[in-house]
This record gives sequence, structure tokens and C-alpha cells, in this order.
Amino acid sequence: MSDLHKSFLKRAKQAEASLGLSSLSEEGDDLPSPLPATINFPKQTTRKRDETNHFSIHKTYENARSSFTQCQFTRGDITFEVYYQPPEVEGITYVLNHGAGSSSMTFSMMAPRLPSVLLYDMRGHGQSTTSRPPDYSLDTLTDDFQFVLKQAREKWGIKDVVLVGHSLGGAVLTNYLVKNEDNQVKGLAMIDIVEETAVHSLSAMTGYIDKLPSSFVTYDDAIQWHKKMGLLHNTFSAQISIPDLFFDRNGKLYWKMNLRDTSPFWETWFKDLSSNFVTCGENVGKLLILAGHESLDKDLMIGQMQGKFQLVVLHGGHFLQEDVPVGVAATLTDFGSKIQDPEGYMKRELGVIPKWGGKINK
Amino acid sequence: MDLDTDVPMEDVSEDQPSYQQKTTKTTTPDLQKENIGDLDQWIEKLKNCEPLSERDVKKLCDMATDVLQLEENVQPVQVPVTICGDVHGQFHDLMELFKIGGPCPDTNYLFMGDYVDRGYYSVETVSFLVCMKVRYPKRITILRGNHESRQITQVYGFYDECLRKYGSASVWKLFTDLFDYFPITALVDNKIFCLHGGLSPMIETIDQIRELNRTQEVPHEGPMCDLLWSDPDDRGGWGISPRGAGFTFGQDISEQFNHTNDLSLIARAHQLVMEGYAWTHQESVVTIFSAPNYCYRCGNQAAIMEVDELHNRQFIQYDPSVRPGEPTVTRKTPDYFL
Amino acid sequence: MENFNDDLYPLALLMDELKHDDVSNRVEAMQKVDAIAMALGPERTINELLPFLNDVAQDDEEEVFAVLADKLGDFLPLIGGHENCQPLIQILLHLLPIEEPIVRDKAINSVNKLTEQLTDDELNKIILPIIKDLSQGNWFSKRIASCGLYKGVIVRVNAQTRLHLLNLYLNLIVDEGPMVRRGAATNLPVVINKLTEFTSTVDKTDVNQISNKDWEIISQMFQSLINDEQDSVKFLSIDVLISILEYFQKINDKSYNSDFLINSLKLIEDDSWRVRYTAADRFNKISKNFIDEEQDLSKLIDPFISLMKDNEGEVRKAIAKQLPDFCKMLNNFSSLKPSIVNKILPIVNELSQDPHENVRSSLAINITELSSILTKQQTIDKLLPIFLNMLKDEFPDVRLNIISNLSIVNETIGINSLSTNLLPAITELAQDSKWRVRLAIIEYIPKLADQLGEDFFNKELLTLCLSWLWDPVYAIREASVKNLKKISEILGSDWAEKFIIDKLILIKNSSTLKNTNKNNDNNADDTIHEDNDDENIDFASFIIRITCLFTINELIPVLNTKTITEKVLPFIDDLTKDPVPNIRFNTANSFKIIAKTLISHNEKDLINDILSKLNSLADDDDVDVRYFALKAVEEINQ
Repeated sequence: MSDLHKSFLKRAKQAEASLGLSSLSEEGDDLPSPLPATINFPKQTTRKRDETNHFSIHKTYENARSSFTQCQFTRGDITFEVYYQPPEVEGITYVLNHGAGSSSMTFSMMAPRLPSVLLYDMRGHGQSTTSRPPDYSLDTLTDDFQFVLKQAREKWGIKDVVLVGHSLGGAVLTNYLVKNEDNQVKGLAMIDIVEETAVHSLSAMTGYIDKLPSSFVTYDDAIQWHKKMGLLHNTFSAQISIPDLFFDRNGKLYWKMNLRDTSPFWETWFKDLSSNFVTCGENVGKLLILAGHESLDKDLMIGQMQGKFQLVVLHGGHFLQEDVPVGVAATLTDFGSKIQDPEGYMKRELGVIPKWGGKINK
Repeated sequence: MDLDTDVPMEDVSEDQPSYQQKTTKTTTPDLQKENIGDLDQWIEKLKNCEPLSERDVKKLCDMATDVLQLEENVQPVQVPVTICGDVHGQFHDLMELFKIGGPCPDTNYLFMGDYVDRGYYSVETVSFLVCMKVRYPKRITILRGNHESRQITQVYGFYDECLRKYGSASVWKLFTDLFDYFPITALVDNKIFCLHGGLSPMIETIDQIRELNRTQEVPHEGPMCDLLWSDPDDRGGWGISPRGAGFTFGQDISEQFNHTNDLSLIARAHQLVMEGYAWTHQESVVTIFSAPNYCYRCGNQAAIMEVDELHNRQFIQYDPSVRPGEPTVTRKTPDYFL
Repeated sequence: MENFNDDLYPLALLMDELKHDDVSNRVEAMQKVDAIAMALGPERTINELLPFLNDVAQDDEEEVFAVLADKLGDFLPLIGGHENCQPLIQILLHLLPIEEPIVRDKAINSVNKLTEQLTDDELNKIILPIIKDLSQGNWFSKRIASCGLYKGVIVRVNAQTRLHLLNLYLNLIVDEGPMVRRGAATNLPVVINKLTEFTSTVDKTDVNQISNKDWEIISQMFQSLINDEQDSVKFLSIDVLISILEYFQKINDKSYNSDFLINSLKLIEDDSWRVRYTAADRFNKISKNFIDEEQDLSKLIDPFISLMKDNEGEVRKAIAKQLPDFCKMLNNFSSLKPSIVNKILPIVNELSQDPHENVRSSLAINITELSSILTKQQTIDKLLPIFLNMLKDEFPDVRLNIISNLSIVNETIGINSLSTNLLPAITELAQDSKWRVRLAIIEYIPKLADQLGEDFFNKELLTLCLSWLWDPVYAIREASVKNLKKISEILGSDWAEKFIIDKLILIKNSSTLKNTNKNNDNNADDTIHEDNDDENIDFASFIIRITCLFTINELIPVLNTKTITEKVLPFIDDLTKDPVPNIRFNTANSFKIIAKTLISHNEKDLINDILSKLNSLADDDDVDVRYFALKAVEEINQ
């Protein structure tokens, strides 16, 4: 029984992590209240900011943002913040989509390592605005994506793309391919998202949200908190991604995104994600990058064992693109060059010119 | 496959003749009586799903190295033989397989790789098959699958299982070192070509396989990698495999290979097929998968293929074993009992 | 660690390992802690090891705690006995309140183990204060931990203390935290059972005998549990009820029966299906306490039926298992007997067609037992149709469970009437697509053969029995071979010769040169071949040859010498030249069996003949043929 219990706890923890959550309670729904705080973070009221450090982080963050070509696209009453990094030579563009409660800046360490990237903040996240009342259903998020992609294509003439989604972002991109035929999408990559674990984790989500500290004094506090919670491990990356999550009012940092607003839409987020990922998009290459270890559910397991997608497991936390940006970027570029030009890839990367058997499939 | 392990990767050098060439006809000496005693004892123990001690695994792997290194890259196999696909640590289902196909040595077996990972009993499964191989080298052939590799086993469970069951990685080391000696393909009565994955654009004839140096970790690319990783595809020609290693090959490729090498069939494993076996490329390739309800959740049947002296083929499908002590009626477990 | 001398080397080593970065090393080191203690001896264990462990218990991972908690339970002998228990308990006190249930449970278990070895005095001085403290702890985990400790002390204290403890326990039963209530409810049956045992060991007049005051508190606990708002607590009250019922059964006090019955009925009809499920699962444990009063028992019939009709499949599955035993209870009262046929059987019929396969499968395991309490005619009229229907169930487990439990029906209606009714079903199931169903049928056959007699058997079942020999599944062929042996034991050597051996020889001779290369690929399935006429049994096929050989090997011991020498030996002789080594080494086994049979008949010449044949097999090209031939020679010579 003890092994079972352990593995159950482990699974539950992974489950939470896949949403960018971290486990606080071990025994689920019926802990008696009041709970003593498991995590001690500094009491904000009594502390004053260390201004130098705080603003140096802010500078780092602003520098990172301005390294991209920035632009806003407006759709109805929502303005999306879009970042573009053009290719040096013509080539494939990686369209990166962040997850719930995160922002484009989660990809800031990885982006320079990819030839060309397109980033945008989901509604209500980062620098993008949201609607009233908020609508975070999967279909709406997918429509947003479709809009942003279309605008970006017109503006910058982007052609072939590889879609890369972290967590919920992966579900949005998969849904895009389920609903649209888009010949210029060559590949779909998801980072650390598995339907079964994600759905499982939704039950723990409310408890997690309840326990979020309402504010921090400095960016450093927020970063330390995220690190303590095991959400992030890479301080360099955190100095860019964390400031994007907060706004400053009267010397305190408050969350931009109220995750509670998303709760009515959770049910739509991951439904049939695994089977859709395996089957969507004809001739679209698929890649799944998981953190820590393999945790495929039934549909993914069958898909993998039938050779329908590539699975890569990297050591790191849920925000793999922040913890191991080099590894994720290398995996993505390899994936991209393979699907964009198989014959060239065989020649260049593998040194293989088939001895027999004719043509090579695109 | 993208792992931060620092396993040395030797690329296959094709101009270097392999030592197997010279030793092909060497027959394994008969087993020593005391070894037979050990092996029979181990086999009985393993039949109860009890793992061997680390010391015995060491002894076993030493004996197995002696046997396996004398085998060829394309190991010849006689008919009648029963050909089986992936097992993946599903020990109880392997025992079920022997109930379906008959016990070894009465029935001859050819396993096409992937004994470890994913299932809960990789240690027992691979120990058992290796014991049988050493005890009855003429009656059973065990090929190498893509999971018989140092890198893959660190991701998919065999490494962790060894740590859990032995408290250290030494048994994992012993087995993965042994895997380097497993033959990579087999040829049944010169007509059925058996391997784990599929064809390689670098390999046009079976003789080219005989040239390879197989005693190494499964490489990331190159012919040996392809043989263990490739899949047949509905599209013709060669294609980049979605798996990230090996290639996909079309019907034109299979037919040409069979014609060039005077084969009647390519039998391979590697892909989960819901019925346990599946024909592709108009019966020039068959996929056999022998892990029922793969990973205890996929709901697939398993199958084995019996080939008799007249090359009649019979497929037998089977379901997961019924395990004593485990409730068979758990499809709707009330959650509060957990 | 420099100041450790050589004697303390093992401890130093352990402490090093216990500080290892890798938790698995620390766990492994902790597994050996008892060996270290043994090496140190009691005094140094107390003075050096325990203080160290006391630190560990406050600062490590749960995996390490779990091992430590477990190990400490067996530590008393290592520290020189119970009088030195204090520091041990101190360490466990750190572990008891840990939230991880695995650690907590192991710590509870160890404290209970230690408590057993303490004197009453020590128990009062050391353990009771701990229980009191934990029970009133400000943190839920402490209170949960306390729940597990009462059972170790409750019958070892005086009446006054006991009352005090029960009152403390009552507080846990009504605790604000559902997990605490659950812990208390889970442990309550054991506490009550301890009290029940105690009543019989102590004289009635003893001052410490269990009194009504005790029971008032327990009754309060029970009332609170059955009214708990959380069904995850409430369902635990059923086991509490059973324990209470068993107590009153033991002291032979029936005055509360009607109250308990009302409570039982209330739980059985609870709104929550978890509660009903548990009630259904323990139904007979409850009802057996009411078997003395016809009237009480009769009140349980309708609730029983309502559970059979429950809209939750799991509940129906659970109650199906209770069916025969409950009917047996009813069967003891002539007035209740008719309800079995009139009220319950119609619902059984419904259950046998339940939409949930697991319900039907569960019913199939038990339903055959009902025949033992029905008359022959009732069984034939009411039960057999249900069986026959279930034998056709689409879910193989249902079919399997019915067949495997049919023998009990023989006793009621006799094999003849069973077999006439069942033969069509058996013939059909003999070709079932699931091999385990075929297997169950095969295993049932010898019983039939025995009772049906040779003529009937030859006419109705022989063809079937032989057809199983050619099944695609080895396990069926093997069972079929064993089956033929059992039948031969019943019907005799002549029968075996005429109907099996001759038949096999015919197969061998008739299919010499049939080299048609037919491909069976497409009709391959886990099913019997459509056409199992002799025509298609091709001796050129390896599986056919080896199965013939296995059959003969199995039958040799039941054949007479003449048949062996005239028919079996030539048959085997031919197979020693078989091209397939597997056949050749199995002939070695045949020779061994023949020789063993003949030795008892004192046939020296024949045995020498066999030995020479084995010796030529020992020169075979194939290593396994050589091995089995030599092994046979060796065994014969012995």
C-alpha cells in the first residue's frame, strides 16, 4: 500500500506541476482548517524594498523585451502584445505559446537560440488586455491565436511555422490544428503537457489558487517564492519572466492575471487533448517534450508506440524552456530542420544519402 | 532520446570487417553440468516472478555473453519456430505467452526485442529470457530491440526498476552491457527476415548487415539504429521517422528488399497494433506485438506467429493474463478506498 | 567523526551513510539500524545511537522516517528490555504526528508493539499521557495518530481510566476534522473487539468488568457516526455496528436487537451509495446477528432485495456475493423459505441480465450454491434456465464462473439431468473464443465421463475431447491431454487403446505425404479450427506430431504392456528419426516413461532395447537431444 500511496502522491504532484502549480497539501480535499502556512515568505507590510536590486531586475526584464520587434494587434476590445524575432536568412519561424498564468517572457531565454520566433501574450496575460467578462475558453483562446498568427503573417510575411506550446499553450495550438487546415504549419511541439495529468490536477487547482500570496514587495521576493515552490529553477530566466506577471501599485507587486477567472473554462482546456495531438494535422510533425520523466496517458502511449510522434524527456521543472533553454531549443531546431527539409536533413545532419529505394518523403 | 548521458557512441565503421565473420560456424560448447543446475534453479525461481540475486545475475550475464557473442548479426533460425514481438516487462503476460505457444524448449521461440521498460517486471522478464537463452541456445533466439539500450532504459523504467529492486545500478549495468551482444536480426529458414524495427536506407542486402559491428550501444543514427527503430509507412519511399530515430519505409522499399534478398516476409515488432499483429505492404511486412493491454492501459490484444516446417503461418491472439490475487472486476473502483 | 574509535566504526559508517546526499542511501542505511544496535550492545545503543536517531527523527525525509518508525517497534530487546523504553518512545513521539500516513501508521504500529511489552504500571505512566496529549493535540495529525493507540491500552486500565479514555475517544469521533473522525471510526471496531474479548476473560463480578457506562459512550459514538455528514466517515459505522452486534451476541443480550435492527436498516437504505455499498458488502455479517428471531430476519428480506435492485452497479455486485449465505439463513425458517423462490429468485433472474458485466460475473461465482438449498425440481425449473442463459453471456468471466462452479449443482439434480440440460451448452462452449472458458469446460469433463458411463461418453463427448487436442492454444492441448488420461483411468486401458492410441496411429499413417502448402494466416484467431475432421489433422505439421507424442507420453502409465510394446513403441521409434530436434528429445522422455512403467512389470529385455535406443539418441547432432537422452538413461539406471 505504501508504494501505491507514494506513487499516487507523486502523480498528484506532477499533475499539479503540469499546470504550473505546486503541491501544498498531501491529503487532498479534507484537511482541517486552519492550515499553518507551509511556506514562509516575508511579511510584506513590515519590509521596505531594496530598491537597487528591484530596479536592476526590472531593467533586465525591459532589456529582454526590447530585444524583440514589438507590436500590438487589436481584436475587438483586446490588444495583444506581440514579439517577433526575424530570421537572419529565410527559414522556419517558431511560434511560441505560453501557458495559463505565464507570459511570452517565459520563452525569453530560449528565443535567441531559435532562428526566428513569434511570441504573444495570451489575453489577460503579460502585456495583453482582456475582455469583460473574461472568456478563457479553449475555443476563444484558439481564435485569439488564429488572429495573431494571421496578422503576423501579413505584417512580416511569415511562411512555414513550427507551433510550440507550453502547458495550456500546447492545448490551444493542438485545437488550432484540429479546427484549421494550415499547410504552412510543419510541426507541432508541446512542452510538458499530458491530458490525463492535467485533468487530474484541475481538482487541486482551486486549493492552489487560494494559497497564492496576494502580493510581494520586490521582484526578488516573487522570484524566491517561485523557486521555493519548485516552479522555476533558473534565476536568470526568472528575472525576465517573473516581472512580466506583476503590476506595481503603491510599492507592492500584484498578480496581473487572476487565475480564478479561468476556472469556469477549465473543463474545455484539456478535453481530448491527447488523441487530438496524435491525430491532428495531416503531415504535421509532432514532438512532445516532457519534464523529469515519461508520464504518457493511454492515447499518447498508443500514439508513441505506433510511432506517431517523437518524445523527448529532459531533466528540469515544468517550465522546461526556462530551466533548460539550451536543451529545449536544440531539440526544437533539430525537429524543425528535420520536418522542413527531410532530404537535406538526412544529407546534412545524418550524412545519409540512401543507397537505394528512391525518393524521400516531404 | 535526447538525454544527458555520456555513453560513448561509436559510429559504425563499415570498412572494418567484424569478427563474427570468422567465428560464425563456431558452435557453443555444451553447458557444464553445474551450470545446468544453476540455470534450472534460476528458471524455477524466475517462473515465480522472483528476481535473481545480483551475484547470480553476474554469473548469468557472463554465461550469456559467451553464448551471444558467437551468434551472428543475422542469426539463422530453423523452422518450426514461434515468433514474438515486444514484451516490455509484462512478466505475467510473458508466462501467458508460453501457455499459448507452449513451453520452451518444446516450442522454439524467436523474440524480436523490447523485453524491458514500461512494465513492472523488466528485471524478471529479461532475466528469464536470458536464462532460457543460455540454457537452450538452440531453442530460443533473442534479438535486440531499441529498448535494449543504456539510454532508453534510463527514461522508460528499467534503470529505475533495477535501482528499486537491487538498491544499485549494477544489475542494470550488467544487463545493458550484455545487450550489446544480442543479435540484431534473424533469418528464419532463409525466407523470413526478423528484426525489431525495420529497414535502413543504408542496407540493401542482408549481407550488408553481416558486415556491421553490432557490439556497441545502439547508436543515434546509422544502419544499426535504423534496423531497431524504423517503421513501415503507407507512403512510398523513405521518410524521416516521427519517432526521431530510424526511418519510415514504403511498400516499394519492402518489396524491393524482399525481392533482392529472396525473402517471403519481413517480420518485425516495435509498433503497438491493437489486434496483436498487423499486415502491411500487401503482406510483405508483418508487425507482431506481444504485450497485451500494453502498459496496463492500452487495451490491445497481443499475438504470436507460429511458423511450421512447411512455412504455414498461424497467428494466435491473446489477452492479458489473469493474475491471482488481483481483482478482475476493478473497472469502476470507488475512489474512497484509495 | 574523528573521535570515534574502532568499536564505533559501524556507527560512524551508518552516520556517514545517514548523512548521504542521496535519500536512497539514507533509507538503505536506516534499514540496517537494528544490526548496528546489536553490534553496539544495549548500553551504547541507549547512550549513543538513540540520541542520534532522535535527531534524525526531527530532520530527514519521509522515506527515512518510515523505515525508522518501522524499525523502532522491534527495538526493545536491543536496549535491554522494557524498563529502558523511554528514549525509544521519545523518538516515536516525533514521528507519530507526521502527516504522511505511511510514517504515521508505522509509528503507531511500533508504539503498539512496544506497549504490549510494557508493564501495566509503565503503560499508565508513559503511554497514557501520550495518548491524552495526542488526542487533545492542536494539530489534526496528532489527533489522527492518537486514534490508533487506544486499542493497545483500552483493556489494560482500570474501569475509571477506561471511561476517561472512552470519553477522549468520543471527542475524536466528533472532531471537526473529517480525517480525524475517519481515523477514529476506522479504529473503533478494533477497540470494541478488544472489549468483547475482555468480557469473556474477566469474571462477571470483577470491578473492572465492562459496564453500561462504557456502552453508553460507545453508543454515543455510534450514533454520531451514523449521522455523520460525510459519507466517507459514515460508511465506517457499518463495521462499528458489526463489532457492537458481535459483543451483544457474545454476552447473549438480545434486549437491544430491535434498536440495532433499525440502525442497520437505516444504513442499508442510506442515500449515499458508498454506505449502501459497504452495507451490501457486509450484509451477512450484519444479518447473522439476527438469525435467532424469525421476525427480525424477515425484516431484512426487503432491504436485501432493494440492494439487489440498487441503481449503483457496485452495490449490486457486492450484494450478489451475499446471496447464497443469506438464503441459507432464510432457509432455516419454514415461514421464510418461500420468499427465496417467490421474492428473491425473480430478482436473481434480473441480476443475471444486469447491464454491468461485473455484476453478472460476481453473481455467477455464487449463484450455483443456491441449488443446495432448493429442491431438485426448483433447481431445474428456476435455476437451470438462469445458468444456461449465463453460459451464453457475452462476457467470458460470467461463462467461466458458472462452469467452474457447476459441480455443486450435480449434488442436487444429479449428473444425468444436469448433463442432458447442459450438453448443448457444453458443446457450444467447447468452441468458445476465450481459451480459459474452453479450459474450464475441459476440466469439467472427467466428472461427466465418470458418471455418464462409457457408451454415453463415446456417443456425446469423445469427438469433442479429441478435437481439443488440435486447439491452437497450447494450454488447451495440454489440458486436453491430461483430460484424456483422466478419462482413460476411468474407462480403462482397452478404451484408451481403441479410441485414442489407434486414432493417433491412424493420423500418423494417413497423412504421410500431404505437402500442400496451405496458408492459415487469414483465419487465424484464438478459436478452434472450423474443420477438425481427421482429414485436416496433418501429421506433417510439427504441432500435430508433438501433440500426438505428448498424448502418448501421458497415457503410457495407464496402458497395458501389450499395447505399449505393440503400438506405442513403434510409434515412438519412428519419431526418433524426426527432422525436428524438439520431437526427438521428447521421444527420450517417452522412452523414460515407458521404461519406468515396464520396470514394474519386470520387462528386462525391453528395457535394454530402450536403453540402446536412448544411447543412439545420445549421439544426436542436437545438444538438447543429447542432454535429454543422457538424462533419461541416467534416470532409468537409477
